[in-house]
Amino acid sequence: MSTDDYILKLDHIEKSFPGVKALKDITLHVKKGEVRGLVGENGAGKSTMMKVLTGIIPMDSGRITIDGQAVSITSPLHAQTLGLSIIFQEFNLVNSLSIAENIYVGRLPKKGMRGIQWKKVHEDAKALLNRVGLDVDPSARVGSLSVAGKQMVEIAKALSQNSKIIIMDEPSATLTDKELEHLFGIIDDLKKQGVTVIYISHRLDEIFRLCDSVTVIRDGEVIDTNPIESLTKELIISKMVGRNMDQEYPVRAGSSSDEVILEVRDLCRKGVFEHINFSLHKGERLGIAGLVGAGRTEIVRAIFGADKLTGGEILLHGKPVTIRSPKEAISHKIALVTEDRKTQGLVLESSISENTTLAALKKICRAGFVNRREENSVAAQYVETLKTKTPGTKALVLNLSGGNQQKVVLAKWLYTDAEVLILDEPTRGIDVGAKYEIYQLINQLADSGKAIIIISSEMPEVISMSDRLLVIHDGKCKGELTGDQKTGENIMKYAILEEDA
Amino acid sequence: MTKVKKIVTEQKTLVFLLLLVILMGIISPFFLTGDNIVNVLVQSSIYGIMACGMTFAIIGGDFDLSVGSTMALSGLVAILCEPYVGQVPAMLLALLTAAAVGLVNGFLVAKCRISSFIVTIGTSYIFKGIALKISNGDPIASSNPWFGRMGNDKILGIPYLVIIMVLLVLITHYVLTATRFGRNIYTIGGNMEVAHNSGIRTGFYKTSIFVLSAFTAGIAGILNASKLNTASAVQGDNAALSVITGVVIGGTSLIGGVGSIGKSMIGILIFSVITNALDLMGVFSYYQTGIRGLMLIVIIGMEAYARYRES
Repeated sequence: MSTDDYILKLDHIEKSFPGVKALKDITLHVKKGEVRGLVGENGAGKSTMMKVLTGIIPMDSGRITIDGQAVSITSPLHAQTLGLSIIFQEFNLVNSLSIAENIYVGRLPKKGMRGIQWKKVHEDAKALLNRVGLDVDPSARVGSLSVAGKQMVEIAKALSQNSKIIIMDEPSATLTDKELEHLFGIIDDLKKQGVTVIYISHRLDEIFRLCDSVTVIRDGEVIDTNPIESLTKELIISKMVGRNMDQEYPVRAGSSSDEVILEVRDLCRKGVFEHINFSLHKGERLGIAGLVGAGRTEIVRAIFGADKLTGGEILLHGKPVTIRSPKEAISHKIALVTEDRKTQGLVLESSISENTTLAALKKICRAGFVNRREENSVAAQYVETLKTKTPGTKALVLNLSGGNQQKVVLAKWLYTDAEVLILDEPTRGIDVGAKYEIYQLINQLADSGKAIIIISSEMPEVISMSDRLLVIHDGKCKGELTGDQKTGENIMKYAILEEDA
Repeated sequence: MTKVKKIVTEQKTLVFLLLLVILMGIISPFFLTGDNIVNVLVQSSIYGIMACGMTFAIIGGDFDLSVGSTMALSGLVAILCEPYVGQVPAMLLALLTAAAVGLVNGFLVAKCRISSFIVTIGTSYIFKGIALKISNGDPIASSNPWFGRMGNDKILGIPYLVIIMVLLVLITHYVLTATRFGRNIYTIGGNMEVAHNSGIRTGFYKTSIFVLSAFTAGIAGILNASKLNTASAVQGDNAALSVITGVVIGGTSLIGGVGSIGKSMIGILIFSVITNALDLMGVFSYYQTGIRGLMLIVIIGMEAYARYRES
């Protein structure tokens, strides 16, 4: 086969961020008219690769060739002019504008003083909508469309720019089965029209339904590319997770006790999760694994009283309790370290001291007056025991690194005397060295008798940092893994392969 | 030297105020006389008192556009009720009215989750409507000779108005910096979600800031009516924007979570000094309005531009 058959070629792409090598020698060749599946764990490097490809972030070295021409892509707009469009999970649409306006946003055809040629815009938009099988009036507002409809508009927009390559980033995440079938039909049509599609997804069923070939990415490297006929689901999973776990994780000294602190029975939040049962022991680290969007965060938020439960029971030390707000959860000695510390965990423009005492301010107040000296000494103690790197307790948390910010969040919750610590993605966005320190802290806390729940999308992390592991899929608890059962293959099996559960 | 530089960069508005005072001292020999300084402080006092409550509101992440109507309403209640219940009870009723107004604002913002912009514009019309109705749209003079003395008399050469303002500023400073209540106001303004997730009763604090804002507007309303010996429904017409402008010029961000009453007072004083200076220089009042708008854009604009350049 001649090289001209390749519409897109990535050769030896490298990209580093401070502290991590995100892409290592990525080489990927895609044929014209092919539907290529791209799979990998959360954080494997898929999105970095797409960002490089659309010029959102520059690459350090390597070469990109489109249709036989070496290109250097500088922006998403530039990528589009080269015939490369990407449809992100978060749509780039303006809800208050019409479908036609969205398709031609920024390049509505004008004719001198007569202004925009609305008739042409609507006719062309209608033709594009027909091509993607969306039977709606192009003058309707985008905001009135369903998620699937918006996706079709995004595809129509890509087609209007004569895109030769369309990349779809987890397009199925929010679609119903029927909408999904429709999307598959359109992708089949695109393929017939000679458009190349790169399809990123966690869902292997879809990969097998759609793709001609599959590329597996892991730890920023291309593992391999194979025609779909030569693959099985199990084979893909083993390629996705097959990494060795060396000393990235400290081993805890102690172990969990038999004393049950928290128990949940049949927890349900309608339409989000249901039939959630588990118990949590003193000194135990309970991991919760699953794909992003499986309902993990929602479950712990409901336990913490941040969201309402529609059914089920929560027991603390064997006694049923009702938790209607975070305030009540805190009084029951439950703490939640939220996944986004900047918007949900810290007051960025306040000092370390102020953030540390925020959830238990009463403890340093006498008759409503804040004892600042005591506050500073409390904060200083936590800075010392958690080894937070900062010039002082009066420094604004805004100026701390991610790892040190997370330590301030932990200090805040430890100061509430919480017995149950729920950690949602505790090391997200934290560099490797600081991660290790957070892991050590988690182990120390568990050894001191705290009951800990860890949610993580990083599989090795949730495996190594838990004594027991729950896998959540689609709002349901699909499996409980202990000891040697805690493997990446098993998690993926429960988290992806619905029918096997 | 570095220390001086630090003070200059951190206390831009204070430095600006001092420069303004020095400049005026040079231009006009009358500016730095005791009489004129007292005059400037009296001019600042009504808005300064309102700035106390407004600072709570803005640090808490909201603002209150209804303070003008609240001020007018409270002044009218203090004068209109006097013949029936006596002066002191009438003033207490005025303060109670103001607090009730704040409670309505607070309820609509905190419980019904309507934006404070909409709520306080809406209630400012409603309360002004009530003020117009109970006064029939006319200015109403006080019939109690004692009433007017509060806003005009002095003790040891210092007007009561100034003393009351200073007291309220000190109390506000103390509550904001030393109490749990004050600290939690900063927290809800800094990040409402964090505050809620940390067990802080956000509804209570949101409501409180509107009650405090309305309450100080009530005090200002009584004192303003006393100063003029007359109350009228249109007395507070420019108050809300002027007070918010002063607070913001001082450096208390509309985003919430940062600021102090000291900064707000500097902002209010800058405005009074400029007004006074333009008066002394004989600048026609129409120009003054324009110059004030220009000052706002220049002072806030410099901050915003500096921050933009930094990032």
